Amino acid sequence: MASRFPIFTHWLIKPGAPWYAWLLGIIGDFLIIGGAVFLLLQLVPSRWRKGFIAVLTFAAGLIYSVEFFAPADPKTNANLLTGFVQQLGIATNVVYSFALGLGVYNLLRFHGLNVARKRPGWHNNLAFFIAFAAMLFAGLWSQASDAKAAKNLYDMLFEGIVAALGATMFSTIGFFIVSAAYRAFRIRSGEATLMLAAAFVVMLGQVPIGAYLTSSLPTSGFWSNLRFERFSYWILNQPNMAAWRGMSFGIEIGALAMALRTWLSLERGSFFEKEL
Amino acid sequence: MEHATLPIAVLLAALSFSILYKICQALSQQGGDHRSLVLTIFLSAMLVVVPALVIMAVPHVPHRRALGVVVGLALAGLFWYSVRRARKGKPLYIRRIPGLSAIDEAVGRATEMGRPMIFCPGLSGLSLPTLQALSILKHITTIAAKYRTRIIVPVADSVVYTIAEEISKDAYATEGVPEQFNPEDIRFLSDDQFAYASGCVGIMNREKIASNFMFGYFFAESLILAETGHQVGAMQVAGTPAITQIPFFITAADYTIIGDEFYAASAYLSREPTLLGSLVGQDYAKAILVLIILAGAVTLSLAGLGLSWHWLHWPNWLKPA
Amino acid sequence: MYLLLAIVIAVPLIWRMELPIIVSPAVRGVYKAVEKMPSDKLAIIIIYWGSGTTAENRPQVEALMRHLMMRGKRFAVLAFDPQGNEFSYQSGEQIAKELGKTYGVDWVQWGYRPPANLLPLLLSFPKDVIGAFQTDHKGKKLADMPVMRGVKDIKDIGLLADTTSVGELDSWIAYVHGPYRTPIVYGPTAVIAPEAFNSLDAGQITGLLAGMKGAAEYEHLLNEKGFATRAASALSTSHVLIIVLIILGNIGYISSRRRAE
Repeated sequence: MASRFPIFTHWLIKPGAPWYAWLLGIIGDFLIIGGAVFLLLQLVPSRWRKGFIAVLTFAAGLIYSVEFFAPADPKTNANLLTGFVQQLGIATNVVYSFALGLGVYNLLRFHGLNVARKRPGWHNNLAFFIAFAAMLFAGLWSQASDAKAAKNLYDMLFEGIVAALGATMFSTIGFFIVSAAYRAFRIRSGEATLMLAAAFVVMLGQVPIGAYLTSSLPTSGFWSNLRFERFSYWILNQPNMAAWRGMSFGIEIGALAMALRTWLSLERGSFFEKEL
Repeated sequence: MEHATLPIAVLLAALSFSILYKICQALSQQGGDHRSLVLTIFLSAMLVVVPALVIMAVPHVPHRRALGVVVGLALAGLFWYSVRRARKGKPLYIRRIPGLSAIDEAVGRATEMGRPMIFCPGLSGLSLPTLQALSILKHITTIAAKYRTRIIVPVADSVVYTIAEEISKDAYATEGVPEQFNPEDIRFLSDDQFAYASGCVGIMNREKIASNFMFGYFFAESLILAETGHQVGAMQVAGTPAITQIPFFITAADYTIIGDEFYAASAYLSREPTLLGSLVGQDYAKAILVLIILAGAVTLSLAGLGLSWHWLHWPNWLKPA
Repeated sequence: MYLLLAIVIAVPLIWRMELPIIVSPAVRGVYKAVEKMPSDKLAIIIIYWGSGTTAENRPQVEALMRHLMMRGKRFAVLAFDPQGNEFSYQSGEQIAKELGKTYGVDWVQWGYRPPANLLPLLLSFPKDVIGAFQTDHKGKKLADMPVMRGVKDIKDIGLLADTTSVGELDSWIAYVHGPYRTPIVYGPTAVIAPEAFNSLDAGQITGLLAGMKGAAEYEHLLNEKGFATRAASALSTSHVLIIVLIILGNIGYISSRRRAE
């Protein structure tokens, strides 16, 4: 591990030290480097900060762009920058994970304030704390102990409550789609009628009853194309795919434009124009 | 991992160039901005280097190096001329997008009814759709701050939570009412999809929201959010680049922003020249793709009819190796 | 309306109605991909779904596991959802017991990896499969397991089956199929299935199991009557109900428009 992080851990931590010493060393490295970068940013005059960050953003994006466009060795499928990009991806995940605690802090603060001030419905906020504590305890206990009671408690809470509630919420979509379809599918115009007809064909083609309804049609020849399952497959495979590709082109070009603007610091609006 | 082949690189370069070209023109039209000069110089340099490299890489072309440099310089010169000429051009036009025009109406409705609004920025974490959604959040929060209307922003990602909080605080400060900002209105609910959906449903029902904005990348919970908003009688404006969720928003929401209209939102709402130029550039990029598709369809159809000219199979050059 | 829907779904499940199932070319593609996979290679089943989509994705996974075990082909299960990890392990155990297969010899559960790890894994596992995953979900070393014998890099992976409710197929195509041409079969939920026809038409995926119906068709090909086959009848009746309600709604709409005129 010392050979990967030669900056400080190499000479501060002796070989053979326990794993947590190396972990602390790595964290220390990141704190020191991060602190140095932060200090450097503070030293930059405020009128140059945006330009400085624009240059940094451009350099960071350039690594990925060059890695993608540079020819790769056919044997290893990698070029000079591929290894670096992989490490950068891992580092990005590490930085992202620093924000994990923020969400928990926000939850605890919000619900805690409601309970402390006994706002209307505060007992629901108390239920959050009970659920949070119960799940935390069950998770930690099942990791730390091989006891059957620990596993049973964890299974009861995770599979019996969390998983079941998730499945229940997803199931409500089935009910909502009925009311939404009943409300929305109206024959208001020619296009709406065509859409409705296509929806009927695709819906019936997706289920066995559609195949049953047109089972009297031949399985080959021209009339076989009117069987619900074949007609539905054709709609999904031809017009649907064409429409999907058209929309995808538009969306991906929009995403390309936004990515270019962000990379070249041309983006405007919201937080991009904030004074630093 | 996959790396660019020459045809893909050329295609991406052409699409990117068309977008940046229009941004350049828009900035030039605005005038007095150093970004215009920096971008023009950067793109000119790219125009000299990239075509020259491409021509030099193609075998059996006579006097490759000289030809590459001449073509590159000619293209760069043409580009520079058109950018400078754009200063005298007409302002860029974009058509009306009903969903985005309805945002002001939705905020007004909430103000008149004296009920709060809710803004759901989707579930995809810090990504391009979420950045775009946060741009729209800034616009809505600015109007909400002006009219002293409450806006609740439940988020499903810790990083997005910090940015949403900054944006809201900034919007209220810009409107001169920083004391109106309530940090409890920006809430992290859960990163679990259906826990987030249930939290939003609870907020909509308890707070009796008057307007529901759903912008960002959504998954299966989109219908739950939209239907609940409909049931509480909220006016709903939704936009997502997730094509699979658009039908749900169309059936349940009052206004839906489809496909690349979502990415046009920031340009439409702010009318910033850079963003307008980028939007027009996107249309140019789409035109390039349409021409390639049409040309490919025609030539491959001719090849399929039995014509044996070798160049008819040029679309195969675009296939990955 | 909601009560009617609940009844219409429950009745076929309780009374076990059976309707004929016609197999689509997309599902046949999945079947053929598994049949064609060389026996000395390893298949990977990706689990990127949770409790919400268990009804659609779990039958797909079970049908895939059953097919692979029936043909004596090794596979590994990699999960990006903790709930999906548990469900798939339970399914694997149950089917292995039925077909007389052994964990660690015929199949292995690599376990749960956080979704944030997807990209680093995609970059690292094609070069060194065992090095990228190290242990199974119980912490046992993969290098010691007979099922992983001879599996070094992506060339030893014969098939990738992505079952998902999230729709991250583009990542697998970009990082696995694109550079290495590993066959991919896709098992999405029915909602996100239409977007996969692009990839199917382009040859980037070999087959497609669209939701529960796809799983029912696959079970039909395997001559198995699993949950998806039973539930397909409930799907049918619920679709018919929605169509009837839409027709009734339109009749009401047209008559009210005529009255207004």
